[in-house]
Amino acid sequence: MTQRIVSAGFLLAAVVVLVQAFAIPRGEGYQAVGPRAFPLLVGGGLAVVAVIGAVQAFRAGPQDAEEETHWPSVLMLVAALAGYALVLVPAGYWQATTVFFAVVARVLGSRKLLRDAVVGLVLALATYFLFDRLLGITLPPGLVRLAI
Amino acid sequence: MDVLGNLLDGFAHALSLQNLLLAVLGVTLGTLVGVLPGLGPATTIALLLPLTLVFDPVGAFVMFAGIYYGGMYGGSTTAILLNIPGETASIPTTLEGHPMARRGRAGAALATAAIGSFVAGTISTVVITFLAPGMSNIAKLIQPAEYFSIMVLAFVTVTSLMGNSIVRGLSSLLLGLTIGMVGIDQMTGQPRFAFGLPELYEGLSVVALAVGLFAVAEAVSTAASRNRPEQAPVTVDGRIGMTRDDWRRSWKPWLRGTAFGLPIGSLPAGGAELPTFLSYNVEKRLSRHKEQFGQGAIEGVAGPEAANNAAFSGVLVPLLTLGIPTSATASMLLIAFQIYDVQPGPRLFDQQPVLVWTLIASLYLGNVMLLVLNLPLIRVWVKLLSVPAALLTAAILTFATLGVYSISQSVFEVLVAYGFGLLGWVLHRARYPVAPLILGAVLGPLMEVQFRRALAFSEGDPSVFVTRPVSLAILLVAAACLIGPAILRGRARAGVPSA
Repeated sequence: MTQRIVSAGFLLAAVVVLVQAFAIPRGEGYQAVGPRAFPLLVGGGLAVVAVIGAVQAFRAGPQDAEEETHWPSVLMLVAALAGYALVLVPAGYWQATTVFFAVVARVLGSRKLLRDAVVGLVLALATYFLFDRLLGITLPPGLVRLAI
Repeated sequence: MDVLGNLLDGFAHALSLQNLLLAVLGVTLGTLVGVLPGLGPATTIALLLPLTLVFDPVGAFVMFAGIYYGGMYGGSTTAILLNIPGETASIPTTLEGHPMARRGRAGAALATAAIGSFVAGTISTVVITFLAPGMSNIAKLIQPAEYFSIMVLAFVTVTSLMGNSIVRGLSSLLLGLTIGMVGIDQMTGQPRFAFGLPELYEGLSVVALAVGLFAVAEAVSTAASRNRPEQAPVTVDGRIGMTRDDWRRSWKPWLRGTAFGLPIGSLPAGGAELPTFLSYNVEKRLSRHKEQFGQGAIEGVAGPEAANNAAFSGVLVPLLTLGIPTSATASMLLIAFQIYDVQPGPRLFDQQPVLVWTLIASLYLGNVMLLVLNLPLIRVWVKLLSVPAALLTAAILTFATLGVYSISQSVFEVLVAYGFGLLGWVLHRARYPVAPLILGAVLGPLMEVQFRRALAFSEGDPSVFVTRPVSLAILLVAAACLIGPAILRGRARAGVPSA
């Protein structure tokens, strides 16, 4: 099933690539090859393998048993990632990371919330000081900047 | 040709206190991350990339040499103890190493892997020390049309060797080439595949792509398989070391493995998968203990591990002299070079002699340190395997995010990495290999440059690729590599025994 969906996805991608490639102006002028030759080549190749791939995927009978997927975990993980990216800058690096760490551990089945939060806090503070203070790579401080 | 003088110079740089410490740090961190289940050397480098940002290029590459070897060795530890290969090239190690561990011979399996890697790595490093400068001189003569054809050959061989479907491999590769084209065209300033988003004008960051495809995808996959029972790691009882009999059975496979890995890895067509599998099959055929294969034959660990390590060193030849990476790990190294605005290729040895020779000297050091650090510390690394998967995954995601953000200072790129993580997971589920995708994205822009140069020389005549004899010959080899395996597979399916 996954293979059919993905092969259809590749077909779609091939169409998008070709449409976008044809939309690139030739821009030849003094150049022998413009910016669109290579994209057309790649798009054409993608279209060929995508069609073969789709034919193979849809002709093949029911695939051998696929790995069972725990969808709720995947969806919660995606939500956690999206949330983390959104609050990373406004909330601050170590603050957001502590919460994110505990949430991900929970999503993956850990039941020791306090331990996870403490591990997350230690990890977040350690990387924050290592990067922001020692290595000089700025990380978002959040509302309250740590004094040290 | 004063290779030795250059090498001594390199050692003089690599042996400074700072660089020695960086090498130790690199090997330690590389092993630390590489030992985590599912994280192969490419992922390890992707995750540790930001750490090198603060050092000068020479220091950073010394550290990288350490990470490279450490990550690889950490990967074999996981393969042996957990039966989880971090990358395709570690699969033969799981076949024999894990049964050995189950029978209480983990110590011998780990030792033959470590010592074999050291032997193979050292021999290979000596060979590439003398081979690479010569190759670099040859590479300077290569014209754009031939350069383009060599890249096609590299793509085709890497793709047809990985995974079990050429169509899926090529799909993945071409998707990678497309990703590499996103952004403003360097020659004309024309935006391509940017969909009007200013964030995309600079292109999709290969760092975000690599971190997403390797590290984030691994985390999503852990989440998806949450309900599956976890396999408890095998404990390491007894001493880490080999008996006299183990030595007797290991040394020939080490040398044979090196003989497979080094030449194949050094070709701009190789990669590490083919030599490791070849070595495994040859050891199986030659062994006087055929009945032990599948149940833990030490030759089946010694040979492929040596082949893997030799190929890993060999891969540096096309990477440094042609700028062509032939494995996922090598493309990570190319990304690291690009972060420092260093472009590997024919002129690298002239333009950056200090960098190149220090890097080669650090390969020798990395190998020695690996042996000195890892054999005694193996028990420490093994402890890491008892950390709960939930915490490990949370930590992987934290470091993945930190890496992308600290390099780019951009939340958009973090989201791009997450997006590629999901894509990588979906592709993996559908059995599309992701290594060709990253190769395509990294090498695509360089390939397009050569493509356009070749056509500029021929004044737009596309037949240039097939009318120049060398280019044609390379393309014919590529075509044979593309069609050959399909025919062999067809024959195997039809029940005709292949030679």
